[in-house]
Amino acid sequence: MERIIGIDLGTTNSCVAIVEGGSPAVLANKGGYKTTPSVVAISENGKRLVGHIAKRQAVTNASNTVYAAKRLMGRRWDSAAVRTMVDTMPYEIIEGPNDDARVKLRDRVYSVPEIGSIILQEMRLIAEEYTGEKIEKAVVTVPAHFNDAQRQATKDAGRIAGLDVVRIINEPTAAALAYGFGKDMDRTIAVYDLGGGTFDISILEISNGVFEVLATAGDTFLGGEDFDGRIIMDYLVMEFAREHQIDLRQDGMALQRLRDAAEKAKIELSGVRETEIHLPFIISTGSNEALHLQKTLTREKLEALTIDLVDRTIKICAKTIEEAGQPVDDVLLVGGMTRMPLVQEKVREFFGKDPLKGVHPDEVVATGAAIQGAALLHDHQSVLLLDVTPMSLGIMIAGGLFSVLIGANTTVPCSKSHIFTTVRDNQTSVKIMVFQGEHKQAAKNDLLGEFILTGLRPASKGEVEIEVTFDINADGIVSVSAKNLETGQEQAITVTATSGLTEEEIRRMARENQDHMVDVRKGEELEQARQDVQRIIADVERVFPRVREVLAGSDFGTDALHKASTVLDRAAEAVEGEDVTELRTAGEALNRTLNMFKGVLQKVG
Amino acid sequence: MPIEGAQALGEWESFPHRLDRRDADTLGLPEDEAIIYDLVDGRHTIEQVCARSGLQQNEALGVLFSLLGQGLIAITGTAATADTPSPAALPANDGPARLEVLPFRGVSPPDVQFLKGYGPLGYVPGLPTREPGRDRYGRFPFDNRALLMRCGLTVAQKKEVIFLSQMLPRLDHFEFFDMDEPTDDRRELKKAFFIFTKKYHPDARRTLDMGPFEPYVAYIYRHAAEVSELLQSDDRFRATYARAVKARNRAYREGLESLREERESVQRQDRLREAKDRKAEIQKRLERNAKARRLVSRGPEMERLNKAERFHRDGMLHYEQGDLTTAANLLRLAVTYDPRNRVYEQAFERADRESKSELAGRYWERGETEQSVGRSEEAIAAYTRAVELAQDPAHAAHLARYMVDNKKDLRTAMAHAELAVARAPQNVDYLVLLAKIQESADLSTKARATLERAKVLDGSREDVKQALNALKKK
Ligand SMILES: Nc1ncnc2c1ncn2[C@@H]1O[C@H](COP(=O)(O)OP(=O)(O)O)[C@@H](O)[C@H]1O
Ligand SMILES: [Mg+2]
Repeated sequence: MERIIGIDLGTTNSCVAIVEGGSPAVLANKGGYKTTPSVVAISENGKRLVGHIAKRQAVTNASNTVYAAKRLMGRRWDSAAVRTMVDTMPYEIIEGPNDDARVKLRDRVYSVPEIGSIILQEMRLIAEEYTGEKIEKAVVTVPAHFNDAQRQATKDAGRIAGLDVVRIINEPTAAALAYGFGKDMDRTIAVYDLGGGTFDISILEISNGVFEVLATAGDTFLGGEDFDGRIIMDYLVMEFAREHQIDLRQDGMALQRLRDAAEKAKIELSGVRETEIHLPFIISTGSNEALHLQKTLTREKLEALTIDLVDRTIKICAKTIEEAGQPVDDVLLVGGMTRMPLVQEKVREFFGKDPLKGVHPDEVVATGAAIQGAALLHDHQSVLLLDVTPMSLGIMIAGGLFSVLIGANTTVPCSKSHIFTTVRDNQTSVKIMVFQGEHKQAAKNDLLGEFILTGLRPASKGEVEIEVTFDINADGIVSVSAKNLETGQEQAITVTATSGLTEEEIRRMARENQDHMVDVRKGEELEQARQDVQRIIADVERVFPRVREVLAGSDFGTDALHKASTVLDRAAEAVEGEDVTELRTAGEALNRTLNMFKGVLQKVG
Repeated sequence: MPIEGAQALGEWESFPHRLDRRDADTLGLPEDEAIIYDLVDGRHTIEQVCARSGLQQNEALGVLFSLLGQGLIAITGTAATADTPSPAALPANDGPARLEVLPFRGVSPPDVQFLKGYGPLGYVPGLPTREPGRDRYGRFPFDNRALLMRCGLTVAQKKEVIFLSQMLPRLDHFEFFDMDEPTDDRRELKKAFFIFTKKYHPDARRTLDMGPFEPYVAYIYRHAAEVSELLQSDDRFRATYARAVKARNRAYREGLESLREERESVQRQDRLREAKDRKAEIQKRLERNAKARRLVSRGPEMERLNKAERFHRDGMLHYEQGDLTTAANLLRLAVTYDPRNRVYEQAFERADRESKSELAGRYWERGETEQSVGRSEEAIAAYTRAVELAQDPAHAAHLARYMVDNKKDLRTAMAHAELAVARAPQNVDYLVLLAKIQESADLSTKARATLERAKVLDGSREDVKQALNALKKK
């Protein structure tokens, strides 16, 4: 059966869901958790670790543990976002060959989509385990404000993981979809999503099963980590420095432990009013003396430390609501941070109504993605998503200005045309430079692509007319064409934002990933065989002394015992080795020995 | 040179938004039966016809049975090798077209000015497409070939796609979204767009094979999205556009109304006149009945005389008005009911004579006309009627002479000449004429006698003498 799973590839946590028998289900990982930390690490022996295991070992392996990689998705090396990350992340971020950022872990360089692919892979395995089927297609969510490059990077991550990302949808839209699914309603809802790294607010209209995004905005650098950061920097580090004149930030390990502790405290304070932060041996001084960190954090203190962050989200909400131009009927809270009482309070205060209950803020996005996946598979149209362009699209015109053809928040699919003309006498060609962004100065926006329309009739300026048409299809693919209205001659390109990876690189990475998966599977098999053999060895060794007692007298017995020890030695050798066949043969031989031993013991009684 | 141009890269000026539109095409008829009927060609099998029809098989079979029942088609035998269905053509959807329907009818000038700033999207067609009492498609001519094209769409869906993509430049936005009335209610407009979306959004038709309709569906969806976007985002546009279409519709309805009123007022007058006439007639009948009742009470003799009197009065009335025929008829009835009344008799005779001579005069005129164009048969017939009616000797003589000149039956000509002589016995010319005819008819004796009579009347006439001498010599 063809399936399209839904994946919420979060900054902090990821989640996977499927629709089964018409109703969506969120799938738990091997550890029983429905969300998996978006953390990837390479262990000391070169093994890939993902999720909880990776997160748990972060303290001891900080420089080889990647988290919040989503913030690097589709970003240019020289962007402010990457700069900040380089300065604050414990892992090494280096410049990639295509003006992109890459991550260096234990001497191997990983592209950001590759890191994403490792997480997607994990999500896919969870779904495959659950369904017992091979999964090849997915709907993946991204923050509403992601630009084309970031979306493309997410798609590339899917390709590397061997997943066909049939559609990228916005996280808030997915959340609304999950909330509105199966309900017959006619409402305008606000989706307030405060996650680990990002904040998003979207206003959607739901009517007759059609979901339309009216407006969306957000802040890419505003999330739970910033709350944690306030606890660390403005409280723990400051207090510690005051007491001991030591800057804990200098020590990577300490910083990692602070990070974990701060988050733990923050989460606890959503339920209780006060919590202890206790980190023994946080740092050792030069004089070989270990220092401990012991602090009490109250909810009031936490709120005082972070209220400006919450206020920032509310300001963005106000602007967005104005843009939507429609009163909001319901407010939906999404993202782990919305569990914080202060956030709920401020949201309630601003919207003047209680947020919707009965929605799991961590799972709702993946659920929505799965619903959209199912809707794409069957045309039964119980739900239909009208998504919008995240940013304005246009071209550069005279004076380097940005002429917008398709504004932000335009429903896709759509197409828009505009007539342009030459600006110089005898101009015989024009260059169409396609940009995405909101800045008046074209160059300040992201360049998506360019092409040249030649063969214009030499004429005085303003005489030759050129029609430029932008077209975005339902999958968000942008194509741009320019037509000489005099000759009908046309030139067009499909604009694909580059994620920072070339086509070749993506293919290579996908292949490598596949090889890696084969290796992993082989490794798992080996491990399984090894464990089997070890178990039998233990069994044999357990009964050996008694068998020796019984058999020791006879020649036959000595011979048998000798043979048994040879088998045991061989098995022990195989356990050390890497050969699965060897292990299996050893296992079989051991089994025969064990049976023989059992027979002997039975006869004796 | 590209290089030269490349130096001027990005140096652009911005011009007002403009989009191309397409015009409608005129094509065939839409009925299911016509579709199938067109497919029956004596070569394709029933199965093939069904397959090509684009209808569900049982739907198509139903239509075939109906056509069979009507005797429009027949089953002719086993299948010959039929060619593969030919791909019919959809109307092109990229023709360059500007519409010539005058826009903005009835819309206030400031609104027109404002809407013009929106290019094609602000255009309000001069007339609504949907006429009162007709369905959405009105008289739109669908091309059967297009409806026949095989794909996952039903005939109804194909129709809508063709209609919308072809008529798009002539529809106002409310008609496009199939809304009953223009409205500036955002929610309602949005709802209409959502209904549209459920049918036409690419996600809603992902697994549907739309065949050649694909680009048309994409085109109308994009248009819908653009329109909806504008209507949703621009409050002033939405309000103005709705007002403009309402004004246009009002102007249209008022136009229709005044037309209808005109027609109705004419009808009303006709009816009024009819009613008046009927009333008058009933009045008359009642009077007559009342009179009859009165007469009956006076006995049959009185009744007879009264009738005679009434016929006389009516007859004289008509006589005075110059309707001689009716007058003569009525007076004849008066004479019949009261034969002893001399006044009646004389009146009748006068009317009868005059009516006959009047009629004869008309016949005579006709005869002259016919004669002047040389149609002798018709001339003779008319002359004969005139002579029979009025017995005028001059006419009878003329007729006789004309018949002789045209070599007609001598006997009849002779009868007419005899009549002329009888009516004017003193006329020598008539006698000479009669004698000539008699001579031609080999009645020499009679001719001699006739000439003798003439000689007696006027002995000085040379022609009579000569004729007599000639006869005697024979
Ligand atoms: N109960 C809680 N109270 C406050 N914050 C929480 C709670 N649970 C999770 N969080 C915070 O929510 C963030 C993760 O939210 P999530 O929606 O999973 O993030 P993302 O969508 O970015 O992956 C983390 O910063 C985490 O500390
Ligand atoms: Mg999230």
